[in-house]
Amino acid sequence: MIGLLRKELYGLNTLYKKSLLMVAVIYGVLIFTTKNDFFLYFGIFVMMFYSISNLSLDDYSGWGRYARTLPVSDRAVVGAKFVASFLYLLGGALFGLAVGTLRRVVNREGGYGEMLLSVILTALCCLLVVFILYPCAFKFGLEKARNGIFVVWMLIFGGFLLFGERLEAILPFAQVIESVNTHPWTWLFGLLGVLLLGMVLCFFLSCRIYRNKEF
Amino acid sequence: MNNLIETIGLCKRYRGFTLDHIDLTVPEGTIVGLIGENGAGKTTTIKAILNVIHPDAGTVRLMGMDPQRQAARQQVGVVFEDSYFYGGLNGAQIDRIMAGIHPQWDSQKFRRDLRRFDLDPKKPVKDFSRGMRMKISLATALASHPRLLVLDEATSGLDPVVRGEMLDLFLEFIQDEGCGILLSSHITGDLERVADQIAYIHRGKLLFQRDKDQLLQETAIVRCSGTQLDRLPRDLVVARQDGGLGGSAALVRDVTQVRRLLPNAVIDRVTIDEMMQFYAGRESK
Repeated sequence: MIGLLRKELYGLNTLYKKSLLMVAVIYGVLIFTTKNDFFLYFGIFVMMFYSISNLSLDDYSGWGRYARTLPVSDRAVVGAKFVASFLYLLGGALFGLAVGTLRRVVNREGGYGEMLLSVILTALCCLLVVFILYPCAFKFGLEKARNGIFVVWMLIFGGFLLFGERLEAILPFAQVIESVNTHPWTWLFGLLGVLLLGMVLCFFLSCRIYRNKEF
Repeated sequence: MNNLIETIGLCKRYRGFTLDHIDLTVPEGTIVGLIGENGAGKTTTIKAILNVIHPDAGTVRLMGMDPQRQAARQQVGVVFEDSYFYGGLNGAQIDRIMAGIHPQWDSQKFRRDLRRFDLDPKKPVKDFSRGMRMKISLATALASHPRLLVLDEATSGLDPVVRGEMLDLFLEFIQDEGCGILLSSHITGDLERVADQIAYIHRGKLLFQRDKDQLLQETAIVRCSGTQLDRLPRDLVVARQDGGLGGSAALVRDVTQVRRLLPNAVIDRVTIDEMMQFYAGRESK
């Protein structure tokens, strides 16, 4: 497993070494100068897209075929990709937190708890997107999977924009927000549980699809 | 003698192509050359043997085991024409990666082979020439001390010097009697030089797998008139080509008997290339 993880990380780091450095500098400056936390979360999104580029590298180099001949299980091959994505997102989140904290200390701003929670939730949502994307990519190819997820994303947001008022009348948003305020920990752990369950399901689904895949 | 590879009735069906009941073996201490035209099914056979695709029927055994078992794949080194690590990685990184993947990985041997092939371990693979890329693939395959090497078109596109070096390596590898090689190649001259057996796949079917020396000794091309060829018993004529002006040629087996039956005919030694051309011509008529 460690060798496969090295393969994933070496591949990404070799390909994106300069880009990562550039992103770190630009976003670091933007987080600091704009006093806006948007770039703090956007860095995590960027890392999400970088992390799934490994699949393109695999397609390009014929890695899938080669990996099948090595004494490793399909589960280990898939697992290494999931762990690499997790590490990349973790890196993005830690970088954002470090720069965000530094800015707050220097500018004597508050809101540390809010920043921490927002970063964690953004990272987890990105991780869930990546975990959903993997089985889709194994099944349909990376491009189709990426486009498919983008369309679903747009439909959800478009739906809220177009039918937000109607949805508000049908769905109990106000009660949900009230419930979140009164029981924050229950909601936090519930959400974490759902995310974790989703990730576990996506992992096993990915393993199943990958096992039946032919190269 | 044990078989390192054994396929029995191996079938794989695609739209427009069927790999049809392939019975292939690679015994210990043997180099088996897998030949066939483009699209004949060589790569499909190799993929099925190596667990890359799932056969529709038949059985595959690697060192007597199911190829899905890691213990079987642990003893196999593979060189594909177009499948390897991402080209941005260098030899040193591949060494560290494989050390964490393969339980029998020998870093010292890998580095020694890189030096022997004059490959810079710090240089990305994509910056190597095709010959050098094949060499690093081969060094990777050999560094886990495999019993079996499977090479799919590993020598194609290489210059004669590099090809010669690789063939020497294959011969060196096979010195260990417990090892074997399955080598698929279009360059039949290479196979004539190193292979012990030839397996010929034609349109998804294995036409034969035979000892190379015996095959080349017992098979020949007879050039004579069509009427003379008609006198030969059918079981001696493998394939026939009738040319203009009454001249004909035939690929025949049992040269001694043919020489006795047609004492005035010209009988030439056959190469594997010519043999393939006769077989392909037989079907196209």
